[in-house]
Amino acid sequence: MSIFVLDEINNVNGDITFYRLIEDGHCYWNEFCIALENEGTYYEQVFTLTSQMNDKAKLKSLPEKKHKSFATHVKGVSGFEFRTKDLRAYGINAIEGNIIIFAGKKANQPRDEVKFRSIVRRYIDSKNE
Amino acid sequence: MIQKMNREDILKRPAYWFEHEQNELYRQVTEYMERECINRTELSKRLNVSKGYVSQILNGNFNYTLKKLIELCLAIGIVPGEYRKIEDVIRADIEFAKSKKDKVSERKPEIQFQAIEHYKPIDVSAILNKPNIDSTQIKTNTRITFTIDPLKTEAVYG
Repeated sequence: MSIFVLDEINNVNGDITFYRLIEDGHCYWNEFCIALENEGTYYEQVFTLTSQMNDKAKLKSLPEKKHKSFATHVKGVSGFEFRTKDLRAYGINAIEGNIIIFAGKKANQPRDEVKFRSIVRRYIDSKNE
Repeated sequence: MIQKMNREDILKRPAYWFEHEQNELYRQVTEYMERECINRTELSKRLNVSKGYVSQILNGNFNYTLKKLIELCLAIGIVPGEYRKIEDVIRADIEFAKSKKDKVSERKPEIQFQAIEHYKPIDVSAILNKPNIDSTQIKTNTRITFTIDPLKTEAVYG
């Protein structure tokens, strides 16, 4: 069974708190950002995602093309995704706030969606253990 | 890297504000449509623009000229541009974060730490960076509360 930790994303500043999920020491969001920075190609779009998160944290509406609900396939857990031209960030709504679970490139979306749902299932299972 | 960046660095990024402005325009136009009880077709007629142009705005993808932005804003009854000093924006942002933290610390301790409620006991000390907590005495998935005074932190378990 994995060990999960929630770490507050201090760079998102609003009424809703945003967390990043850490599984067994791996923070998927951070790893994604580091990989993008090393590649250089889509790194600027991380700030676009951060801006979207900040708007949501401040309870402001976003266009549906940029932020929409997303099925987690886990009972009682609602998910969402943030979208930029080339990137996706997936998360869930929780009592604590919004939890960013996983992020990936648009090109890998089908594969990433499976990963996202798998992590959510493990996280919820660990909470119910 | 972004996790090493502080909020101030992010607020100085053009991509952050470009996204913010696109979404703010989307919100202003949506509010106008709701207020006037009109749909996209009616809006495009009123603005004398194509439906595609309206769709781009409502998808949060407005990226036309400054002239177009001014025309659009005036057409929906607002004026564009709220120019503030970046230092003022950063200061307000820091104050907002501080007031939020103050509100959290005013709450009961168990609410303050509810996010760590479901961790396994072995992680508790590491998460809180308080090695003096005897984590071996805490059962898995036990609700844990802490006193606010960091010098007298004690785990209440069971």
